[in-house]
Amino acid sequence: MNRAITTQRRSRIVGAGIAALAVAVVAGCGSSGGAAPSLGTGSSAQNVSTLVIANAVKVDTLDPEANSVNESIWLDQNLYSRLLQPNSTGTGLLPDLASSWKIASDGLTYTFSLRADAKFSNGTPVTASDVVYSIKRSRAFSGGWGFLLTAVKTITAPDAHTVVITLSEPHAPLLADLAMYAYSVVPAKLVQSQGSKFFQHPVGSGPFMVTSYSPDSEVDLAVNPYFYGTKPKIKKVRVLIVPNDNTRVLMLESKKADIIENPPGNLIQQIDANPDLNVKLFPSTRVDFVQLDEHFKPFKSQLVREALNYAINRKSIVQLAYQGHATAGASFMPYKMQYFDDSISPYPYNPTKAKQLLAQAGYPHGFNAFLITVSGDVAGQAEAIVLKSELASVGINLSIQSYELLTAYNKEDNGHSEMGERYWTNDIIDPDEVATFGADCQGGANAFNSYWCNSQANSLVAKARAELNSGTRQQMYNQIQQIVYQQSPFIVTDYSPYRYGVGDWVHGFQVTPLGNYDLSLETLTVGSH
Amino acid sequence: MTRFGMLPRRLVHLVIIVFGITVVTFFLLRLIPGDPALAILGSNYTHTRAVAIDNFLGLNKPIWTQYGVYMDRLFHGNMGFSFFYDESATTVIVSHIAPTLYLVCFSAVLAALISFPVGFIAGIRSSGVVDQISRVFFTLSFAMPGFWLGIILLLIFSVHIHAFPLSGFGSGFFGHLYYLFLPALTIALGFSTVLVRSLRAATITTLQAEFVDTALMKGIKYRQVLWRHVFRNSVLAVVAVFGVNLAYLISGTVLVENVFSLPGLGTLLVSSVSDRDYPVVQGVTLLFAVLIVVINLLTDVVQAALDPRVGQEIGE
Amino acid sequence: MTTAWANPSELLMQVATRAAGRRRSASRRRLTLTIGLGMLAIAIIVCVAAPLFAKDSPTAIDALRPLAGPFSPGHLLGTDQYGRDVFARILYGGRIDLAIAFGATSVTLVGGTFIGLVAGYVGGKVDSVLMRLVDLFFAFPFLVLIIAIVAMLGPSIFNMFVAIWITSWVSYARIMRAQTVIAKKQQYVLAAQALGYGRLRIMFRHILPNTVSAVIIFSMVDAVGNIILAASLGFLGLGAQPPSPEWGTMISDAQNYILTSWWLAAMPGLAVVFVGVAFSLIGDGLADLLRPGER
Repeated sequence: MNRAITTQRRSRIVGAGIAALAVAVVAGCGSSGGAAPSLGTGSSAQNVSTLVIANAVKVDTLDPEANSVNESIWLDQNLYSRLLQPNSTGTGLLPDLASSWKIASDGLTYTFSLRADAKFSNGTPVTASDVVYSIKRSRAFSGGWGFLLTAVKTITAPDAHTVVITLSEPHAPLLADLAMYAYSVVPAKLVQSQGSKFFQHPVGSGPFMVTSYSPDSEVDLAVNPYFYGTKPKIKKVRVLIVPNDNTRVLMLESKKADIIENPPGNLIQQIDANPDLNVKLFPSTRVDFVQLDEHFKPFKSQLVREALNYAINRKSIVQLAYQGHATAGASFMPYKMQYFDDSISPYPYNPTKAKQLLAQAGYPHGFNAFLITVSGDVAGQAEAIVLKSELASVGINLSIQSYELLTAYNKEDNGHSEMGERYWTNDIIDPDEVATFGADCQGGANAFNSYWCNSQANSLVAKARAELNSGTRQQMYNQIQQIVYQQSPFIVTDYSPYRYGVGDWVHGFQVTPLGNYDLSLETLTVGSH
Repeated sequence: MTRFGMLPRRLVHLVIIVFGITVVTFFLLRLIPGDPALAILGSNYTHTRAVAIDNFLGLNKPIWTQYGVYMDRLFHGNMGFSFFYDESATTVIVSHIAPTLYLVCFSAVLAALISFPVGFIAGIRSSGVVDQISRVFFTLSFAMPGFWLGIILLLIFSVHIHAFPLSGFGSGFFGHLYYLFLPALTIALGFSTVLVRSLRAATITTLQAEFVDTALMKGIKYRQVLWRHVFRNSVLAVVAVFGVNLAYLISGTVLVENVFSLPGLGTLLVSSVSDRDYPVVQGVTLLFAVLIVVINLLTDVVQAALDPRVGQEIGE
Repeated sequence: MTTAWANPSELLMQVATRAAGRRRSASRRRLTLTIGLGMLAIAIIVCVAAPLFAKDSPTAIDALRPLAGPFSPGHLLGTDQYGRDVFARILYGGRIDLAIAFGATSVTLVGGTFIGLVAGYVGGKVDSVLMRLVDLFFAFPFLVLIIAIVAMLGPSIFNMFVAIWITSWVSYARIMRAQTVIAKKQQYVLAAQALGYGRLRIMFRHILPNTVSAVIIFSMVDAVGNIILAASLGFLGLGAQPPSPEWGTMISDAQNYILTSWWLAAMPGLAVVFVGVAFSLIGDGLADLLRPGER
């Protein structure tokens, strides 16, 4: 019967189809070399001219006034310049567009002299009017960083190379504020004429310029030919956006990326074990803390808050949440920043003392509380588990609630919270920002949403902001840190560093505590690999 | 004319439904705790700055006013402005369409390539080897969560055997196909379960139809009968299944895009919900809804064109 | 007849009933059902009586033995990054996922069936409104709806139930309505109407018993879908809270360990597949047995 032949033919067709598919797959494998991203041209040369960085988060915008994502901020800092820039340890400022500046004796007038050779990447010179325009623009941006400059009265450009800023009262952080990414200098005429479209292909005076911009997948940079500073040794930078942690690590291991951001904690050992790769930890301004809301009765008592500090073993948090790569936290200010009080040491682990304090405060049997964590935050979840078991041994029964990021923040900040995991990072190198947010209940953030109010701390914060003598300022900030340490409106758990996976063929990659790496991008080299 | 008599009514329904969706999305979004100001300010949140941002975004007006503004702009083709991308929502969405579109089409093609031969053979030789194996295989794959399957495929074919890239979209037409093979396969395997079963059932039914015996009696070779009549009729019967699944698939690409780091609409949707980027969420949801509704309508039209009885029944 | 706008599970069910058991003997038909029921029984017993089968607690941290592989001493399926026993976590996690399979599905089954029955029998404006509502739900990208609901209410197991209840009743309503519309024209209904029986009585005592098998078969397929949905929510971080185990959350947490400890993702995934296949086989077996088209 014909059926036998027909079904045979059918299976041959199917077989041919599968074979074709297999061929296609194999062809795909074969061409994988070609499909992979190319890593720079001169393979015969000692050094490769393109640096490939894999970031975890998409870029939000290249408009410095509107950035909110860290990775975008760090990108911006390579595209634009500011009047001043932070130094590599984040403890001082260096000249950038302003080659020198004079401060009047009453502290109310600052005169900046701009360097004459600064040019934008399209060749036009950077003038004082660009600077004035940029600062004013960013200052006026709704909900932006204008609040840093409330003391500023006028910003003028008496000539093409001078900028004068007058204040209504002395403001010590001014220079640090102006070094901030939001006050990057953009070409006034172009931004005025193109509006927000300008930032799709921006023109800045920084060491690099954008050649291709796909904020969700890749941003390409090339050297700004008109850059006035040290010409970078690399010619191009490719910033790839790879949200998946494992994929980033695999890219580093297969040498498709030279530097990766934030490798997951559990893979650090694996990366280090690889002879060609390193995990670099850079000191950051990140302070991890547990927020306490004083609307929750037990937390109104200073004894209870102190007890919590003794009940927590910071060493085990560092071990389990950060694989040992963090420092136990003491002062609420970022580790070793300007005016950091080194003499304050972390609360020791002492559950017995904790129980005593709780009993003194009227809670001999502990109490129940909830801890808000962010879902997806691996280190935070680990920390929560540690906290739960340690607090249980002093009678505090913690229930862990995990929410999506913004929902978590919303619930932590609404005045009906109990405990919550949060962190702080600096945007400027001056302590005024963190002090205002963390120690001053009038500062706008209710002292990290604890609703704790201490009038002495408040007045110190205001005084320190206006104090220009650095010795006196140091005294004031030391006092503030002591008050916060003793009163403990929130629990400082640790300082965690930035983590980067770096191929050892990359020489000279550094990240400053504020997170930016522009200085090192100018000097680093990428060897052949 | 009665075949397509249902069309005007269906179009009216389409408009009503799409309108309903804009309402639901709009209000649902604003019920989620947290707002764009919180997303933008993060740890530097202060009430003053938040109010300034809210003013700028028009979020402090009464909610019905906001809805009115939104609908008014929508009618003029303006989906709003994304604060996060510093671009119009339309531009943001358009720049994310390509990966999702490629993925959906590629998955559909792969699913067809896999399921048509298998389903057809399983139908002709039911209870045969192909039938048994495919039943087991597809029962298994139906029960697998898509994201899990994706992770497993990635582990095997990207990590252990370096056959396919780990992430991204690639460049150029063939580059895209190469990068999208694993994600498309993940989706296609889930898609294929229903297709194989449908095609198998349709084949069995068609084989038993009278016209097959008639054709054989007329002396037409069995082979020709299989190809010209049975296969074609079976495939046409599966059109509805195919179309409906395609629509359903569109909103299901989210998880696969996540696993394979594809910058498509699914990823955009998840990140913009996280950021509370209202215009973009509203825009993507609207786009998905319109696509789903249109594909469903087209499927019905094709079915009606092929079989008038279906047209009447669907019109009910 | 394939109707428009069905979801894949619905179509699977339709197909299963159509081609069911045409060439298989009675005993083979029963075999599918038996295997399915057997698998499900194993899953239920093992998870409900978890303490009997797994001696470790699913939440006990053992900092000394993290990431032990399968067949390690004392840990059949190994341990996770906190040293928690994977086998125990799967059994206890199974309670959550099985609860969803049964709890979420049964509510949508009852609710959706009721709505479909009313819409189909009463007809007219009621039918029109209800079905437009159903269309709305179908057109709305379900993931957006679920993410929004869970983001609003907060991730928890109960809220997962709520999210599934809100999105899954529509299929049942459509199937029931279609069945009811056909049943309405049957002899036995016309006879009952002629005898003067009230609407409610006809709906619940005549139509329902004769049409319910369709939705019951569908519910098996839907149960699989719900488990996967719960796992997907867990995967997106919108599901069960730490430290409670749930298969989807376990898979999501295991992503970071895929390169070094593959069993953390593979084991919960296999558990999902096991239960999913059980439900599928039961659905197939029931379809064979009940043959709804012939009643």
